[in-house]
Amino acid sequence: MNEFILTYLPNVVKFWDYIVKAIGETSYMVSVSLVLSAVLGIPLGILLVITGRNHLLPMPAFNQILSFFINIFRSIPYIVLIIILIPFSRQLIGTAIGPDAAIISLVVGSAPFVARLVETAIREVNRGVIEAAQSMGASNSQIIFKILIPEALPAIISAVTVNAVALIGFSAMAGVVGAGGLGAMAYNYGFNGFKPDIMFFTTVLLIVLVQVVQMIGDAIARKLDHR
Amino acid sequence: MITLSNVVKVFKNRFGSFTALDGIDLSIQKGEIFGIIGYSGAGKSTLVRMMNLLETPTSGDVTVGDTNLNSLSSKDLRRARRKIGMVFQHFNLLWSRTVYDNVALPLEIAGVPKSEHAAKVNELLSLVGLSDKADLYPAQLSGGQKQRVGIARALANDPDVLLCDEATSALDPKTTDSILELLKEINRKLSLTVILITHEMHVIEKICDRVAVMESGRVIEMGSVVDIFSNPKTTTTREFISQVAGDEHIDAEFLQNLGQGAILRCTFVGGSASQTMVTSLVREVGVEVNILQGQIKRLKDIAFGTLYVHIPGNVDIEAQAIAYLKKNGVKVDILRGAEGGGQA
Repeated sequence: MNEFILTYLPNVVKFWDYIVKAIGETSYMVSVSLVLSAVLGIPLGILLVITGRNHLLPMPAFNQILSFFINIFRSIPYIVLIIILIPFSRQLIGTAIGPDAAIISLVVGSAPFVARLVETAIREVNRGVIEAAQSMGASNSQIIFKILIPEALPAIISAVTVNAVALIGFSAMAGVVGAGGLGAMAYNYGFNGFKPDIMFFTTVLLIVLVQVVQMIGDAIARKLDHR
Repeated sequence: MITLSNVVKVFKNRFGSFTALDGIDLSIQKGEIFGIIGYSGAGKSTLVRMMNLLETPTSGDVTVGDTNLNSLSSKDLRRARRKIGMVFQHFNLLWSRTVYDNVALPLEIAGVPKSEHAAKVNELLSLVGLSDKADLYPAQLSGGQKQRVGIARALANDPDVLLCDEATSALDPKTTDSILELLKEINRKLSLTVILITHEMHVIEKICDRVAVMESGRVIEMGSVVDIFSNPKTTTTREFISQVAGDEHIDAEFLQNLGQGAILRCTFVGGSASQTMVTSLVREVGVEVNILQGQIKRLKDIAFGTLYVHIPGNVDIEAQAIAYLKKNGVKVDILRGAEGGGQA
């Protein structure tokens, strides 16, 4: 076994410490930006629904403006977004490179995506249930927190899972701002450094990571779904 | 208990406007079961939503208890709604919550301390016969059980009024009857005013005290269920009654062959049981009576019967028979008069 590894994956062994570090960087970028994009995206998604026509808080003008901005951020290619956000990153955290700078662009890029997915999830909540809550004398905030979110929770979890997988993919591109991570490792060491075993191995790691994240997300969504 | 005065509701959209309610005046007494029947599109769902202001009237006043709902601030309206329970055709339960938590939802919304939830929820679940289902999710229940949860939930804040929007329309006939029995029991036990929207006359005859018939956003007929059944004034009402009374039409050829004499439709309400009436009519007046067709049904707690009879003989005999029946509280309609004889 050892011999096999030394023959076919020599650089994986040699650069093991780097790989471990890259796993850490990818996990850090993905998990922090996942949390932040959910924190931003879920309320935006709820706002998109409730400010729509015939919903809890109709505000057509606000709704259209919000929708417009979300579309703008969703249409900018991620690689361009990273560059556009360089000045913003400098302002906010004092630097435009490294994992923290990457997190800024990951969040800005994915929060609107989460918002759209959550919008769909919240819209699926049966109007009759909202009406029932109103007939009990529920306020709008009670309807949001006791009805809309709990009833849409499995779909929201699925949305966050989809976003986690997307973030794993995007974080690989964040290597260009020196954020490190498995993607950068595959590109810098594997491709540019002519070490195909590293490119292969880090790609396998990314595949495994995606599978695990999807499985966890599906399991949670299933557990919460009592339909 | 509930008064609607000159309530109008106009829905507007890009294409124009639609008058769903066209000047409704309605007064519902405390403790009664009041039915509202109509075909779809008649405005009955809009009407029941006026009673907790889920729909706001374009004009007119809605008063529940002593409060005029349309004058309330949104906060006070939410408070008032706690005392107006509502049950829905499609139950509208939260599938993310257990039966127990569904029934506890109105308590949470009203800010009742959590320590008081268990007693109330368990009491309600036993009232609707679902004590053993507390930890199940709605998806694990049958339609009838779901509606029982819906009813328990609607009663959580001890309302004075229960609004039922087509509460049995999604249920099979047997389950419908058991839900109606439950509503009747609740009405009696809790002396709750119940308003029931339906398109099934069966629901009205089974539990309602009074009924309003709706068509095109108007109440076209209103009164006690017995009065409406014994004396329908509009075609729509007659159609609804025929849903439960079956086809009352008697074949013309059959009548031809009956020969001379009067043909009467007798309507019996309450005490005047039809069988003894016919017997005594024969004995005391001394006429012959052929029974052509008849039925007795129970309207809530009152017996209600219709009987088609043929009385052979001339006008004098007919007059005697009718006089006797009317004296004994039977409503008589002459379908075909007798001929010959007397001076009448």
